[in-house]
Amino acid sequence: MIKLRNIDRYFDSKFQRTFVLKGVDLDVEQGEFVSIMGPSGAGKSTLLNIIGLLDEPNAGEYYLLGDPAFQLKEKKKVQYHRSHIGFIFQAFHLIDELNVYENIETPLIYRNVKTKERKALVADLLDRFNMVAKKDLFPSQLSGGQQQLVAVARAIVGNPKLLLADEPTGNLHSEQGEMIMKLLKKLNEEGMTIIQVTHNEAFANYGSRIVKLVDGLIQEDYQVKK
Amino acid sequence: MLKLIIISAFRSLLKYKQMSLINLFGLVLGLTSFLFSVYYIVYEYSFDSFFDKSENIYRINYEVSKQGEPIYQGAKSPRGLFHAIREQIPEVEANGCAYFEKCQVLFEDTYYANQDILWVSEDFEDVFPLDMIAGVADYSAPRLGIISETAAKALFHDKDPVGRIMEVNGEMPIEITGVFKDMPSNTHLTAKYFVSYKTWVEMGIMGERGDWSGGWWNYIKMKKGVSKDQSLQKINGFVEMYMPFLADDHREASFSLQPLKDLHFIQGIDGEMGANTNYSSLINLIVVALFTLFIAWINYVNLSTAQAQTRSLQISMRKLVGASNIHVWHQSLAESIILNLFALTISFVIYLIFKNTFADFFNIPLKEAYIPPGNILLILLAIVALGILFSSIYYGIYLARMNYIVGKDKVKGGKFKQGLVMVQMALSIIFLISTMVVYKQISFMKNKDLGIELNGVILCTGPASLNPDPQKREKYQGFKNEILSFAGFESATFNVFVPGMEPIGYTQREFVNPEQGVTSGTVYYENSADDGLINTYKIDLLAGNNFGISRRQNINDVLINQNALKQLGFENPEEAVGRWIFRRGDTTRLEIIGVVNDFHNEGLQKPIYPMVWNNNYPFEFGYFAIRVNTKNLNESLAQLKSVWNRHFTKDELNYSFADQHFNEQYKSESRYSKFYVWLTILSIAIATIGLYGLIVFYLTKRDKEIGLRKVNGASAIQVVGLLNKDFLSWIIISFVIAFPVSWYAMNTWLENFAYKTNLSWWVFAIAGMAVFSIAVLTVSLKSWKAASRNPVEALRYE
Ligand SMILES: Nc1ncnc2c1ncn2[C@@H]1O[C@H](COP(=O)(O)OP(=O)(O)OP(=O)(O)O)[C@@H](O)[C@H]1O
Ligand SMILES: [Mg+2]
Repeated sequence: MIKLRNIDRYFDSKFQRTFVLKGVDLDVEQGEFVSIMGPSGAGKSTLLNIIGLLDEPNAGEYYLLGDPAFQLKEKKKVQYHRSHIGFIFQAFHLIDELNVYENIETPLIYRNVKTKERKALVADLLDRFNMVAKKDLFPSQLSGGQQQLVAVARAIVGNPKLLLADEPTGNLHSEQGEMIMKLLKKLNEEGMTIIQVTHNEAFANYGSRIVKLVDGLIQEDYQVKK
Repeated sequence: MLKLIIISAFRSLLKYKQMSLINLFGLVLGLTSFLFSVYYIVYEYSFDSFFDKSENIYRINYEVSKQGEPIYQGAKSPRGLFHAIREQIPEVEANGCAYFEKCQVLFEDTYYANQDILWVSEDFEDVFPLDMIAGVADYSAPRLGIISETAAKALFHDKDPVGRIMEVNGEMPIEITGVFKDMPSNTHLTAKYFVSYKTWVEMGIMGERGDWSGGWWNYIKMKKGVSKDQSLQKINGFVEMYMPFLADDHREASFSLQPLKDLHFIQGIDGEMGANTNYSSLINLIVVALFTLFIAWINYVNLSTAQAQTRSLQISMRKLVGASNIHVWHQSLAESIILNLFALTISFVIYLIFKNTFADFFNIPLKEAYIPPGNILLILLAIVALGILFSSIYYGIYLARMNYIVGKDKVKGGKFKQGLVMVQMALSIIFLISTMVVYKQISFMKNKDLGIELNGVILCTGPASLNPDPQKREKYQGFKNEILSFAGFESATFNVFVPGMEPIGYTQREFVNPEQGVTSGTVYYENSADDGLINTYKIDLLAGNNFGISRRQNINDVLINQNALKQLGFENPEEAVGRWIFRRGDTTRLEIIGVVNDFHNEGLQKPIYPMVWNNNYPFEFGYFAIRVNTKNLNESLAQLKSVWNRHFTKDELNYSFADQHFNEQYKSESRYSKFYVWLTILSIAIATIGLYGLIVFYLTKRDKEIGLRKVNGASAIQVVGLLNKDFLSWIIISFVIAFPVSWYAMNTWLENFAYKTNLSWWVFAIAGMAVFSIAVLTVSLKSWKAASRNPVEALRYE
């Protein structure tokens, strides 16, 4: 599903070039649940952003779903974001002006999904995440765990093939974190490919595979033993 | 989708309340000032448009030249045209001719002087249909006429005017056939009475058919869809047909058609009726009004993009969940529409409430004007739609370009914003300089030595009852003798026209000085006065003598001014005294008995022209000018009134002070200057908002840097100083743009005046200093808050 070959990402400052990613190769198959780990500044977020088409590599090749995905046009990227990729962030990043219901509904609106269908999909998710009673609240009125739940709902409402999560539990206390991880695992079991970045060993083990990144290089890449 | 967009727009406007309010405030300022300007501009552009089919109406202008040199370029043309056009040009739907005169009207023992009468041809109402509230307009027979509502009230009070007879100029009993509703104030036809000119034909003053010598206003109304060019060709054909006498004198004549809607703007035409407006000042005003609005939108865009920095994450998130750039643009468009419509509503309400206050403040007869319905709102909506479109497109492009890696947005567009604020600052300085120069010119005009002293001179309208009186000169003299017997009164004279007034048409004359070989070619103005002329106005007698006290001493004696002296070909005043000159085409010898200094008979817009005074009592009522000692003014005025009432029992005393009367000529300049003051205040306010927005933008961008500097030990004052340095360097650049532009603009404006103030350097210095101080204050106040904040706060969010 994802094929990265020899990916370089660097930043030029006045006097030097700093490599964030150096010759990264990575393959992720459909249905996998990959946890990316590594020290701070190792380039994890950068890698995830490249996979999610939020950033572009300076060199190397990237194939997403079999198509070359480097140097895409803006329009094409929007298409991918609409139909194939969902995002979850450490800081939730919900849309402040919209309430829970609207936050989950928005991606469908941009996708021109019909009203009736939209209602059904959102109601379904609210039900599943036990958020029906909270649907009229605004993000600022929710706890962190609840916000992240909404963020997950929003990310998956369009039924993406790939879910990218950058430290989804980073701002949550462990109980809430666990709830989110269980949710992700369940989604994975239902067939969704997931790549998450995490600092938490235990949460990493919810996945099927762990990739360790240090100084822009993949140091370890192994399957989680069940 | 629409619901999402509107909900988001409303909520985000509410969320960023401070920004929204500042934006709203700026837009309301810009729109309100624009709205009032449009109100005035529409008024000026709607002159005469209330007449039915006004777009098909033309006035015939007349031009005569001799050997290529124009002799006459005016609004008046021969009455012969009227019949010729009527009978020979079928494409003309209707035509009419008219002559304007200030007349004396008598009704039941009360005289009314200076009544504006338009003597018109039959069927004149086919060209200019009036709104009749009683009776009909009928000019088909002699001695028929109509009267305006207001004049009817003054003359007849509660009586029904229709069918009553009023006496015009003591010899013409006119029957009133109808009363017309007062015309809107924006018309060039300022008459209060329309009377059939056949009255004059009946009296034998002129022939039935009219001659080809000029003096009348001719109007035509074209049939719908007919080109005026062909008719004009035919009209010009009349020159050869009916005016062969011109060719005998090597003169050429031609006619042209002046669209009715342009009458109000055309200057430099002789014999115009109604006041003209200075077209270039009006255009300036339009430009200024548009700029004010433009500035307001620049601010809106600037503040929005500054705000987008804070909102970039939200915008990125929308894109991440699938919003295209168009979606994001729609979002900003919605916010812009909501804000603008809101501002528009507020502005419109302000406009509705203060419409009349505005008219009073600027002394414009807007309340009585005809404003085509819907025009103002339409213009406004169109302009606002454009504004919304452009501002949201710019904003949309900005949003689309925004780098959308979450949390790592780069700040772009700073340069452009700086440029825009620079333009705003430059405009503010330009307005400020313009306002100051306009004021300087007005005060220059009001304070310049006119060559005469108007302070202390009272101008009375000559008594209308004297007009038909064969003893008028004696009666005047009796009045003068008595009033001068009082201690407060120093001197008095009669005049045909007085300072501060454009000389009445029939005082235009050409003079020849055969001895000096000077034929003619210059227009002189021949006034009348008695021996009181010199002392009343404190004119200098440069050579020769004043008129004698008795009229018999002065028969065919004239005084001339220096300008006339030069035109007549004399070297110096002494040389001219005792010489003879002639009116063109007249053999009466006029002896120059004295030469007086040049003075300004009219405002400083106009140059000094040659003037000649004879000693004849005015042909019509004219004016009495009386010099009074201003110490006991009230007492003197009471004396004047009682003496007047004793001598002229049938006439009301009607007076004004000469200096005030003279300054009336600067009314239009004063009005424009008031406009400019307000627009300047507005533009500075709006530019300050713009600067504020830029600072906010700039501070978000440099938040971290400021924090770091402070951690490294910089004091808040140092940081404020640093920020000021950044800002002020471009304010200086805006000066560099503004100074030459305003210098050029004001230089051009001053060209309108024959006598002008100079563009002093200090005007520029003061304007620069003022804008500079406002800018420093704004920057310092806003940045002080950021600079005095605990640096850790800024650095904490990474
Ligand atoms: N726009 C940029 N310009 C310069 N350097 C950058 C930029 N973006 C990221 N970096 C650098 O790249 C390196 C990797 O960043 P990245 O965010 O990928 O790290 P990370 O592994 O996600 O760290 P963390 O665990 O703290 O989130 C960091 O040292 C960061 O400073
Ligand atoms: Mg990271």
